[in-house]
Amino acid sequence: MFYKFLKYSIQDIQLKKNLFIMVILFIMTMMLFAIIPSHTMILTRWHSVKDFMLLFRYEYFHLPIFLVLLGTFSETNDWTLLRRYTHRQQIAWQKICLVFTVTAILTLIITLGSTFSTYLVKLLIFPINTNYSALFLYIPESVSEGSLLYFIYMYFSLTAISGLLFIVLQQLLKSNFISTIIIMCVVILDQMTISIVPTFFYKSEFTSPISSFLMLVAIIILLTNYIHYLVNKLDFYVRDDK
Amino acid sequence: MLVEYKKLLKNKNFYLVFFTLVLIVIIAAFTGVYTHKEEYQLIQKIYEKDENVLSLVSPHKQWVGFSGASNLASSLYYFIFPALISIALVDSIFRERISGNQNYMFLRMSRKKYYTVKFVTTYITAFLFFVLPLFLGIVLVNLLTNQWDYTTYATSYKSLVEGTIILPDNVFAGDIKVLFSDLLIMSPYVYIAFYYVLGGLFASGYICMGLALSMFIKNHYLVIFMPQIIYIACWGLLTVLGKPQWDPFNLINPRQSLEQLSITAIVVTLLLQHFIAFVIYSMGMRRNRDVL
Repeated sequence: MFYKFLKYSIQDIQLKKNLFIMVILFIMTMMLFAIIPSHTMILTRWHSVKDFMLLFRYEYFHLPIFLVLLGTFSETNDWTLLRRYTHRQQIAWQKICLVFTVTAILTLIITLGSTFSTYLVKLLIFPINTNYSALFLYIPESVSEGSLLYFIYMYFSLTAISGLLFIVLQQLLKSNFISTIIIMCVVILDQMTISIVPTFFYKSEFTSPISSFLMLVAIIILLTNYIHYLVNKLDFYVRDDK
Repeated sequence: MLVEYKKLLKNKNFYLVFFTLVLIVIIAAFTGVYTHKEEYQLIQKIYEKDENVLSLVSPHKQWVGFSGASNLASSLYYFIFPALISIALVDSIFRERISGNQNYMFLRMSRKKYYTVKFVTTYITAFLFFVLPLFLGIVLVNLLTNQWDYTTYATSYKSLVEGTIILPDNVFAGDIKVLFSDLLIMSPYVYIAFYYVLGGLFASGYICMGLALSMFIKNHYLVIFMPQIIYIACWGLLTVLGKPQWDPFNLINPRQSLEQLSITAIVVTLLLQHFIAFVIYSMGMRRNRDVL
């Protein structure tokens, strides 16, 4: 059953593959320009792949890209809905599946891109040019080690949660762009006030890895159920079609 | 033109966007006034009522945009304005094309007039959308702190620039602006009005660029987000390339957080942005010629 939803998600992505390719190229350009030793402006120092990924601020770079992609892919028209599904449950599962597919692909691309750039600096640029200075200055000695796998899991689940929240708001408000803006604002405000997202990224690994792991899983399950509930209540007859 | 405004006034997104912008400004004003009171008391305590120092702590530094990174709502306003304004304005041509209303309009008026009116209306409305809440913010901060006259600050600032003021330390050295210092000497009102108008022109440029691109893109969601995407992408790419002084994000900031700012950069960027918007728009006009 899930194979079918995965197929539909990939179909949704394939329908807008030009945008997808442009986004990938944009990410790659940003990462390559950030490591090429061309200018004297230095923002911060970094050591590992994890540092490098987080230097492109999560709330200004990763999340807007993700939401733009997700919002574009989730604009299916009514004929596609009619052709694909017979039950409301299937629509809900497909939305959830789309979120996870987009998250997985984006995580994969960003991880591979940063790993590639990091190794390029470590193995090629830094040994040749020792007084290396780029936008993000590479420091060979590490300050604090962290597990990359754990970080990728955190990245994946936080992005997936924001995607699921996007679907929830989309069902409640019936508007893709307003829900995107709400989520972007909430994450930016969170970064400046309570900072839940940075806590998960930087601290949770050393203080409470297992409980935060389980907490994220619990939130994902709750949101999944809530999306099912909302889609079951969806009223197709009173829709404001613009 | 009148018809366009009638259409706008019937659009509920119009009100939603305006109230959101005003809400952000109100939050920024209240936090700004709170910060100002704390700062004033602190400076009073540290410098023991030194009049020169106290004249440099002025509530106009809490106007939206001036307060910068310390005031969260103010930086949020400057970060997200293209997306918010475009919700109300950018899809006007797109929706009329999809619903077929465009064919109906072309029967009544010439194609050239239709597109000109759309462009002009969007330009003016986007400008007002950006500028009006900010001026409301000025009024609100002044009302809350009960200060309307900033000549004391202007004279102190003038002597700060000339180096004749007597200060216990150089805490306020960072207050000296690289550009348009003369305007600040004249009055903080002139300075901020100049920056708000500049920001409004940039905002209109972005929105018109989105309007032009909406004739090429088929996805409604992407059309709405195009101005914000261009804004953030410019910011990211120019920062990564090491040329942040050419980036509109830094140019419209009244705080002038960069050192390498120049007037040429502002003029060139503004003209280039409007030129690109105009070229794309005329290309789109030509592309959609055969609607009937």
